[in-house]
Amino acid sequence: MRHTLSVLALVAAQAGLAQAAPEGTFTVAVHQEPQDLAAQGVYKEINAPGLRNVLETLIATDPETGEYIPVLATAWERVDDRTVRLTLREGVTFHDGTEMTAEAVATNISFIWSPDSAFTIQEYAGPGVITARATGPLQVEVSSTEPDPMMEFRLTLTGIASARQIEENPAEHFGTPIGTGPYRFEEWARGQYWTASANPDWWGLTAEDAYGETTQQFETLRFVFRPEGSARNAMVRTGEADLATNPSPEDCAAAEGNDGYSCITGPSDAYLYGRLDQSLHAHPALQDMRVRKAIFHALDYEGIADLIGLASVPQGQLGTPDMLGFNDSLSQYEYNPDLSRQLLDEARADGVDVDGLVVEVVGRNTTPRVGSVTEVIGFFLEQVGINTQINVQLPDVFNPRVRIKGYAEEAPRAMMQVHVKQNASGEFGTNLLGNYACPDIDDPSGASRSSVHCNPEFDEKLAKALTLSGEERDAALQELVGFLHGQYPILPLALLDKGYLIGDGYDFTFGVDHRFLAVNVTRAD
Amino acid sequence: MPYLLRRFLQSLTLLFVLVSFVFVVGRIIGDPALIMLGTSATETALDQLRENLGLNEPIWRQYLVFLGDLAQGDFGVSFRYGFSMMPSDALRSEGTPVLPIVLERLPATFLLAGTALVFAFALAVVLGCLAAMYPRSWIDNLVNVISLASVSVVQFWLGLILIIVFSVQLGLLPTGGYGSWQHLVLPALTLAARPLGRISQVVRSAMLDELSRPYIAAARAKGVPEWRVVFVHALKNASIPIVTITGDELSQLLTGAMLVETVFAWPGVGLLLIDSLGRRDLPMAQAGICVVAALVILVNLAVDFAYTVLNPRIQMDNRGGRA
Repeated sequence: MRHTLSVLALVAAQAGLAQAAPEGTFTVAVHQEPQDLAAQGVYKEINAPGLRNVLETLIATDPETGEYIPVLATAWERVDDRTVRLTLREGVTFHDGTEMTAEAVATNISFIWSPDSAFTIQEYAGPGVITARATGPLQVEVSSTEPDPMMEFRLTLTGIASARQIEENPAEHFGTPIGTGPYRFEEWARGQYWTASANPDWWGLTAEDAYGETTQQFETLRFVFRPEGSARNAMVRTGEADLATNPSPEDCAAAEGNDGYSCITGPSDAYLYGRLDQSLHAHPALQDMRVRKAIFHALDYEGIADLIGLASVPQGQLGTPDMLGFNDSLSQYEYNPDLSRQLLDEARADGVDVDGLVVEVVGRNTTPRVGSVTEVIGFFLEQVGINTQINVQLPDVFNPRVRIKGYAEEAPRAMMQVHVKQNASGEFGTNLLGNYACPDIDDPSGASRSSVHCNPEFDEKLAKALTLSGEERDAALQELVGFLHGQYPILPLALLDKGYLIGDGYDFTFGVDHRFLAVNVTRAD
Repeated sequence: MPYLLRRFLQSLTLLFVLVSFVFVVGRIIGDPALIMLGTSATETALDQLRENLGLNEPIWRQYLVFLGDLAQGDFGVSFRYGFSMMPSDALRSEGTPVLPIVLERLPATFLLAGTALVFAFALAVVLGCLAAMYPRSWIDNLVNVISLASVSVVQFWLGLILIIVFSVQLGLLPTGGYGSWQHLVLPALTLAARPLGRISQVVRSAMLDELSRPYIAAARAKGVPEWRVVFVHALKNASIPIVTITGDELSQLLTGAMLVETVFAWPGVGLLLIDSLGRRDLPMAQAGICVVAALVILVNLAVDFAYTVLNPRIQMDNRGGRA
């Protein structure tokens, strides 16, 4: 099994290939058919794997450094706390031959972020409504009705498609994407595959500030829909596919020592956590810091990561080092059952009802290996003298219990929710808001509706941090992450890796966002 | 009332009950708007969808509208298939009507189920007849083993094993997909396993019964060739239970194709249905279930029609029983 973390920019290794004509077909076996191929969907790779080869964004996030890097925009600057001004790349054309003008870009941004369009990208909408206007032939100003320090991040999610298509035939753009990328959309055979062919006029072949020195190696990209994991595995083994997404840990283990293909893995932006009731409506014993600390030190995190398979141990926080706000000074909680027992004894001696505490370890059945993980957590807790009850529940039972309303109705509760969450925002801001801000029972749809943590002082600092941008924001978030580490509210159980099966003829590099960009595939020879 | 007319009316009643069941299930599993948009949807989007789909109306009115739309072949539009948006007034008209998509997928399912049935039927008749001709012989035992194994095997597992053997190890056939006869072989073989087992068992039993009758002994005494005695005289008279089980198996194939289509990425109604359920696409799932159910009912009706052709003595008595 190879473990890799990519750099987005390709380097000198490809220089010698720069003049080679694209040839052959690169086939990717993906686990699901896209719902559509609309530009708004490029914000999440899982929506339509590979679509970023056709549709590009104005700026992107470097998966290694977390910094914004140019794509269709060559420069950007803050006008004020609501507005970002972008300078567009010159000479870029859409696949339908129309020019990428400031007007075209503004049309895209306003269309995609309009509440009237009601696209699913709204899940990443900021505090205000985003619109854009052309302020010059190659200059666009993107504004929000409310101060939005994360505007640049939202632009990394925004796919840019032909404005002519959006204006003249908006329905068509859902199934026939016309972008600016290195590959031109060709065909979508429903239920089977979609294909794209090399775009000889791609701007990236001559502009090195975006992807580095690049080439198009493949004449055709083909994305084949194969929902069954074993079938995707078989496709790579037979050479029907060059790359397969989402292999199981068993598939990856089986690939070791096999000729013809291998498994490559890397961290993703998803993590497994154990959210422990600890304030508000929690069992009194869990409101005692020593008891929570005992629980945190009772678990063998290495063992849990091994059990899950494609996973690694977090650094004491719910995120990866590339994220804004990551606190590098922290480390994972030590597995120290003796310390746990000692802490529990101290709490008992002070009259805390440790023996009356029964921690309900609850997982949602859609979480990978949730049965084993909850069982093993229960085992570790029992080993230090904490009574447990293990449950795996369906989403319609589990989800309401996660929300503040369900929490309040079950008070006093002692539950550890074992759950997977994804943070594609590239920073800790939304993460802290969703997991740790005081929930409001009167606002069941609020951002922190699933939080079980409440600390007004923390909330005040978080609210301030969320108004900041750049290094100030990074520093403020780091401080808050550090503060939380010592409060023992949520157990960072594992960072979930994602992997690929790949034919021996190729190398593929990727970041935590796991975007499939054909320019990041190189021939192994 | 003539037998076929009675069966037709029964089928219509069954279809009505079934679509009513689909409607009820679509409501009791939770708020349809929440199911379609997911828990991350805003209250505004949920309200908008409820308004657009008439979910704020009293349930009886929703039911009447549902039946009225169905009578016109309108199963609604999907906001999940081909669209990533939540329903808004501005783009409401862009929703994808679901029935044409389901019908578009039918030929692939028919091709798969038809091929599997033809293969299973032909082989099962031969095996069943051979077993009946040589009862308690090693041939009979072998046929029994084959039929029991075929009935018992889990299709999902069999499909994966066939992929490993014929695609990965031998490299003879593609692992899945659609477009050529090679793509059809493995899914059809997988799907054929169960009907092969069940039909061969019924053929064997019915043929054993027929071959023990006096007219068979008479034919043999007259010197009629054995193949003609078995495959013409006896088989024809044993055909009613065989047609019954074959019709039943065709119904099973239409529904059983779901798993096989998923394993082999065969773009039929089954795969569409699984995708729709995964995407919480309620209108698409409802349309898929109703169409497949209607087909099953139609197949059963066709089997009843076949009875009357094969055995004109089948009539209805006054109490509705078969004479």
